[in-house]
Amino acid sequence: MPAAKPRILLTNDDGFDALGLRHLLAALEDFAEVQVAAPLFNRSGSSYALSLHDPVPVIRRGPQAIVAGTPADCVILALHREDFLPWRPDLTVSGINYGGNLGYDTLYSGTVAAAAESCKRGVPAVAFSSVCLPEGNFPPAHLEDAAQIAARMVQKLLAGDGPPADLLNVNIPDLPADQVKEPLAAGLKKRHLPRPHVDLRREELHGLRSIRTSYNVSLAASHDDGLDLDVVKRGHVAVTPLRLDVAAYDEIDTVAGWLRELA
Amino acid sequence: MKILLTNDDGCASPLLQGLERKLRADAETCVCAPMTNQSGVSSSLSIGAPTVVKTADDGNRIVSGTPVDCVHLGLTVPGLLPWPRPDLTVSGINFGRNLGNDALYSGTIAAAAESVAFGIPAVALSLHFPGGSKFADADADYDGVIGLARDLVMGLKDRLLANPATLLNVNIPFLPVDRIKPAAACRLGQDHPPRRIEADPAAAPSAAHECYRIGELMLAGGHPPASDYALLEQGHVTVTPLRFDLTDDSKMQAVAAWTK
Repeated sequence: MPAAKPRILLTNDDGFDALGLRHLLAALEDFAEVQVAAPLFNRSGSSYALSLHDPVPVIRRGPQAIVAGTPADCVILALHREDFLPWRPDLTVSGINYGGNLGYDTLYSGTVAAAAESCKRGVPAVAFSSVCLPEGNFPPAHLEDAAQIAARMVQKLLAGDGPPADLLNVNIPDLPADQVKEPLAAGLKKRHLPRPHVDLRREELHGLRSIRTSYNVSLAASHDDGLDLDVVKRGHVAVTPLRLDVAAYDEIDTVAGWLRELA
Repeated sequence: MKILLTNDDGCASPLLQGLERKLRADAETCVCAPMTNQSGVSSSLSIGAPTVVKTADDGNRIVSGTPVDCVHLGLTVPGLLPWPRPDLTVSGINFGRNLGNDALYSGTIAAAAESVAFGIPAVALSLHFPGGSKFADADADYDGVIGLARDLVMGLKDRLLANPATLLNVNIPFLPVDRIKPAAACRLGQDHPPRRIEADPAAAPSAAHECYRIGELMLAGGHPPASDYALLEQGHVTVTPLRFDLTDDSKMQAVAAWTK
C-alpha cells in the first residue's frame, strides 16, 4: 500500500478564486490531499479580524469551503469546529498572496493571520506571498512559477523532521522560475512607511476629506542586508519564522519600577 | 503635552468621551476615532477603499475606517491633527478587557501598536467587567474608573515620553475606585483556547449554505498566577508592556539551516 498522502488545509486572503490560490492548489494536489477554506471575497489587509458579530455562511464545492468571512474566520472554522474538515491537516498553507507581506505589513496581512490562527491550534503553517519587482509592477505575472516553488518548499516542510518553525512567512520574488534564487532566512524589516494618498478632488466635491490608503512598501533606499525586503530584492525567496507572543518580557521589571513611583 | 486619543468602539463611546474631557484638563487632546464600532478588527487597514474623514465642531476627527486607519492617517496626512506629531497616543477606554490572546485581535491595542511603529509611545486602555457581566448598563457611572485611567496616563507620561518605543496594555476592573488594587506590571496569559463555534442554519442565506457563529474563547480557567488574567480577576489594574516585533529570532538559525 502506498504511504498516505500528506493533508493540507489551503487558505488565502485574496478570495477563493484568486489565481495565487488556484495555481498553488494545482501544484499541491500533485502530492497531497488538499481541503480549501478560503474567503468568498478579497479580504486583503484584514489582519486577525474575526466575524464575531455576524453569522458566517459557508458554501461547499467538493473539497472547497467558500466562507463569507475573513481569512482568520476560515481557519478558525476549519480547525476549531471538529466536523468542518474530514481530517486534521498536517500543515496549513496560506496564499499565494498578490503582493509581498514584508516587514511590518505582516501584521496587517490576512494571509499571515490565517497561517497564525492555524499555528495557535497546533497545526504548523506557512504563508506565501508574491513580491512584485520592480515597485508598482502589479499584479504578479509569474504566479504559476511561484506555485511550483511554493509546492516544492511545502514538500520539504512535510519531509524529515518537519518544519524548522511552526509559523513561517515566505516571500517569493515575482520572476520567471529560473531567475528566482535559493531561499534565505531573513528577519522582518522594521521600517514603517506612510501609505495614504489624499484625494483632493473628492475633498472639494463633498467638503469632506477622503483618503485612499494603498500598499506603499518602498523597494527603494533600503540597505539592511539579511532582512526580508532586501533578500527579495536580490532575487531570493525570503523565509521568516514568526512569533505570536507580543509581550515584552524584558520591559516588565522596568514598568513595575515606574508603577512603584506612582504608588 | 499633545495627546492623540482614539479607540475601537467608535467616537460615540462614553468611555472615550469621558476620558477626552478629563485629559483635556491636562493636555492638548485631539480625538481621531472610528465613526462606528470596530471591535475585533485587529490591525485591519482599509487598503484601496476610500476612507472619509469628518471634522466635528470641536476639531475632533471622525474616520470611516478602522482604529489603525485612524492612527495611520492621523500621523501621516498633513493637517489632520492640530500638530505635526502628538507626544503620546491613548487608545480607549475599551468596553471589555483585552488580555492574553486578545492582544493580536484587539483594535484598541492595534491602534496603540500603530502609533509605536511611528515612534510615538502609546497606552491601550480597556475596562473589565468582573463576574461575567460583559457590559454594564448605559447609565453606569464610569467617572471613577475614567479618572483612574487619566491618573495612570498622566502619572506615566514622563516615562513614556522618555521611552518612545513603549506600548503599554492596561486593563482596569470596573469596581468602585476604593476597591481597585494597585497597578501591577505583568505578563500576558498566553494560552490559545478554542473558540465556541455553533451551527446556525436559520441564518443561512439558502438551503445550500452551512452557517456558523464564531463565539467566545472557551477559557479553561486556572491562569498562570502572575499573568494579566489572574491579577485582573483579583482586582488589580494590569499593565503589560508589548512589542510588535514578530520575527522569531530564536528560530532563525534553524530556518537558515533548513534553507541550505
